[in-house]
Amino acid sequence: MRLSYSDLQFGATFQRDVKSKRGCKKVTVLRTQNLSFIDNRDVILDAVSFSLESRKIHGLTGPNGSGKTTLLEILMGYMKPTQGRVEYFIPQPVAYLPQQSAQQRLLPVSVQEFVEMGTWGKSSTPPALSMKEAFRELGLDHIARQSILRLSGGEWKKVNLARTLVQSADLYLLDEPFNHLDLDTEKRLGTLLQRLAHENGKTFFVVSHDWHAMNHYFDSLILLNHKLIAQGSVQSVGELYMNWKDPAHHQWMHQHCH
Amino acid sequence: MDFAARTVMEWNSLSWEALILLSIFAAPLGCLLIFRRMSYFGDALGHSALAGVVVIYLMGWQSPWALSAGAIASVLLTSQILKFLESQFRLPTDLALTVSSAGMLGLGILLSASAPIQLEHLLVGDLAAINESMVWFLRLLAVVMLSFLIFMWKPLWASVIDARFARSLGFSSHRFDFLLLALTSVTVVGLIQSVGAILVATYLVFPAAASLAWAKSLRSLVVSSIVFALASSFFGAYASMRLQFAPAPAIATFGFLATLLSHGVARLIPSKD
Repeated sequence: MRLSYSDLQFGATFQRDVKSKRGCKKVTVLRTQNLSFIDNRDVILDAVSFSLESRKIHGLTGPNGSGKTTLLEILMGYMKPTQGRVEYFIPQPVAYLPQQSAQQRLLPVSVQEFVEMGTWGKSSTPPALSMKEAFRELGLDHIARQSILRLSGGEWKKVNLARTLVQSADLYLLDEPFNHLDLDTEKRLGTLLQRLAHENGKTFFVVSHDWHAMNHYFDSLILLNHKLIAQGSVQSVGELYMNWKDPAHHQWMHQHCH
Repeated sequence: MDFAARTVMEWNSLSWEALILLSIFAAPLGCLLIFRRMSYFGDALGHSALAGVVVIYLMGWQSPWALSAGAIASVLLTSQILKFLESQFRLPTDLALTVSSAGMLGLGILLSASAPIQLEHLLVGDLAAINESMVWFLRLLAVVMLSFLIFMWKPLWASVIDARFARSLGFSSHRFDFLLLALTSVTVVGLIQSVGAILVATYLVFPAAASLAWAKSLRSLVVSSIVFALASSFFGAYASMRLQFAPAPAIATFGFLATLLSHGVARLIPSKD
């Protein structure tokens, strides 16, 4: 889709806004410069430049098919950008929760063993959560010994989330972690991520369509629609998104904003 | 040719040892292949490795090392053809796999006409005629396979289960993919000599498939697949000795029955969780 010049202006304003508020302890963990990805002449990402500060929950939102997952996969190094580059200022590797987990459900392992695989890495960075904490925080204790073959969609999501959070990393990329979660779990996950970011110094980059979660727990938000439309506080970017002129997206907002 | 009626003249201790070694290294590899979604691939490689093995025979070599080199070369060629069919011609994976493996099998059979080896030996193996150097080759394979399993348990499983996840743990999954391909092709050489190119699945797929019904952990999956492989080897070999038919098809049939029985019985027993 085409974007007007004024959209980009918004982007510039919000980015400046973030920079001026940078706290003294916060550092940049990641910066992208003019990231573009073209697949068979379709422009998936178009000159996306942004940076992420440490100790924050950064949201990434935008219409379906706007390139969010592609962006995360490029950040993970799974795909090479057509143009532009990604700079990390923290030790690798980065932990990643994919939107759909690879087909692992044939595995004859219990929930406990599956989550434990997250601790297999050799990195010296401390994990966001220990095994014990992950099970307690995500409410998995009662299914710890159960086989992963018999989990519901929501439980499977939580188990994958737990495996990601016990990984050793400074930056966690989470693709729609709030999907399939009930309200109570959403609340627990939101406050958990906040605590891990603000107190334990972890950084999260979270794809979400969940305005409730974004409003309550996220520190900043990036609006992406192939181009970076805006980056700033959840409220300001949210407002921009609400008032977006495109009728298709107006309707989309209407459905998701109760 | 009359494969099934081939009698087993003499079973010696080498044949028995070969069966045990095959069970030890091929069954765990089969477990790894399942989760890489490569069990069909492993079987197809068995078919395609035949061409490489025949070419080595044509060149006048017979040592298992030379045969392995031939098999690896033809497996690599097949996987390149496969990639090409998938990416350039946009064939779906199963179609590309069937096309490339059937093509290579055809080529192998065609070439074998002028090779100093009976086609029958390549297709259904010849356990009774297994020689000392082949058994040494199998011993080495078993040691290599077991040490990979013991010392690289985590990176191996992580990259097999989910290559991207493995990379986010800091493991190089490409390297392990190549390792898996190399191990598979070397294993296939061992299997071609003993159960033949057509019945590679006997050791590579059945034991893993059978133990999936029971295993509660990766460790128990690997151990029980070895047990299943040993069991169908012994039953198959014993039956072929008593009833005088070729061992490989008998072992394959027992493997098949074991897989069905294993899943059937597991169904009947109520699980605790």
